[in-house]
Amino acid sequence: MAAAVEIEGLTKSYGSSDGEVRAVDWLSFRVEQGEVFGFLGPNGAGKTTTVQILMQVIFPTSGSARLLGKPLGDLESRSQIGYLPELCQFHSHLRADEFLDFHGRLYGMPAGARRKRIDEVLELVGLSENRKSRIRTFSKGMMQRIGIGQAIINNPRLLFLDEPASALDPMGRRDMRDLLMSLKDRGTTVFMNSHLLSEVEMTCARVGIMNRGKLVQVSDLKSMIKPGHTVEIRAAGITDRVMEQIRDLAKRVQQDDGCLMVTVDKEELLSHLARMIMESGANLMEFTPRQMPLEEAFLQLIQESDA
Amino acid sequence: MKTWALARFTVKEAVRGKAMIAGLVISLLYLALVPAFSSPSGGNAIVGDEQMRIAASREFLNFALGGLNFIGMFLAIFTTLGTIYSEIERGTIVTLVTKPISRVQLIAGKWLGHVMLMAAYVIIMGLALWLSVALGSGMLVWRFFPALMLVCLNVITMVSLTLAFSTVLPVVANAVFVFLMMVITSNLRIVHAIGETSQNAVIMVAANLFRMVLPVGEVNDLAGRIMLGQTQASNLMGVSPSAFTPRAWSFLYELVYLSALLMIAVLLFQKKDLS
Repeated sequence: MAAAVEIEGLTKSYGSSDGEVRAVDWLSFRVEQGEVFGFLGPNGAGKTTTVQILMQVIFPTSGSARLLGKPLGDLESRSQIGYLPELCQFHSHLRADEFLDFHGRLYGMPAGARRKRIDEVLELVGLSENRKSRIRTFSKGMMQRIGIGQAIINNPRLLFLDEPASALDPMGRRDMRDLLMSLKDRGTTVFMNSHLLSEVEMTCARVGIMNRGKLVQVSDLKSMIKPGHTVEIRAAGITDRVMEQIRDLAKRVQQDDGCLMVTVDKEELLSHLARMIMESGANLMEFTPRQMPLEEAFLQLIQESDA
Repeated sequence: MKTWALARFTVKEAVRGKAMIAGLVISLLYLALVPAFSSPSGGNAIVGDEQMRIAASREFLNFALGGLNFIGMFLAIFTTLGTIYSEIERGTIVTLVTKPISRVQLIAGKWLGHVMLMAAYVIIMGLALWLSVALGSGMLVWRFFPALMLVCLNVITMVSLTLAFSTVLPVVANAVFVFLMMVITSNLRIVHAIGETSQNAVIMVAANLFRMVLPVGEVNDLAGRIMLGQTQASNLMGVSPSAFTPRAWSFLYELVYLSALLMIAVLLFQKKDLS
């Protein structure tokens, strides 16, 4: 089966007074069909530029890409793709149902299918009660919802979402996660640009990280969130002397509400730490190794790539 | 179907626009006031024997058609100005170009929408003028209709010109540029007359050649000739540079001209980065 997204040496350069600026620099990777793929990076990393090239909003300086096995711009494959742009701007004089109807027409959907799908989509994005409201009256969150609506009106096989949760409140974010999961269950490939790492952590199986136009890493989320060298300790009766010993052993110690977060350099030191607390006579109630959260892994990768 | 969807959408969008509303107010005022400004009836009922009434009706319709040509072209410019550039600036174009439509279809849909709207406007206004004469004087001036079609062609040309430049020029720059072109090429008769008076062949030839830059002025003159029955072939070939009669083939040239404008619009837009 062809990859959902296949990028080969994609480059986008802009001329400036300081010379050439490479917004995207020789990008190559694949996203398989059925994946929920998170595309991460700090502001200005080139994530949006990459998606805009894939959607032919802008054109690459060099390199090539294929979506659903077809070259960029192929209209047949584009009829199976949905796209939610960052900072949604829509034709605000339209009502919600008119807006979805117009986009359904642009996908070439027949009238009957369009009517049925508009009802479904409005329900899915939580705007059924606002179907007759003009988009200009919508809040930011509602704009985001109707934007998602136009992106899924065609039941896409491949969905590009650029910062889909940025304007949503916590309820909206939960709805968005549920929607993504239901799309995933139906086999839709989701390519999600986001700087909300917690959202990515909850929804994506694989992530790609970009920095300064270059791809830093593409890997499974599980392998990225490795067990770290940090433990959460709850113990009663830790004396000042033992606390001193822990500080000597640890790289970092944080004390919070009776709980100690201790980070050491090497894994072997964790067992030494546990033994030391128990031998001191303190009552060790909890000794839980913590996973390195995505945020930490992300920051570490970005710092390494900057260096 | 997709081009048609875009055309329908463009019509709806333009109808809601301030330019169209202002245009309709001006048009209604024009319909109400044009008899008062035209000669020879000066707002009074056209009377006299049949020959006189025919001549007066033709003259009135010729005058009114000139006004309609100007208002129509003006309205075409102002409703089409931001067709592409404003969509790029607002960011709304992104959700359009990422749908399964080609950029050629996008231009074609937008163009078709504006053309349908403006053609309907010219035809309705023209019919209103013709009916007012038919009912007022009892004269059915059939030669009005080919002349009206030429006015329609002029308006479509202005839509095409404004749309083509809206792919690259911001709204204000596009307005200034297109409006200046329209005013200059519609008044080349004055330039030619200066050349004639000063017996300067260069000015006369330049005025003649400049008519090709935007043929709406010449085609409007041709519409006037048709209205007044001055359509002898010898007058209309335009072989002599000293003559400034409209050339019969100018409307065919205008058709080629507006096709070229559409091609230019597509070429300018086809590979344009929209972000």
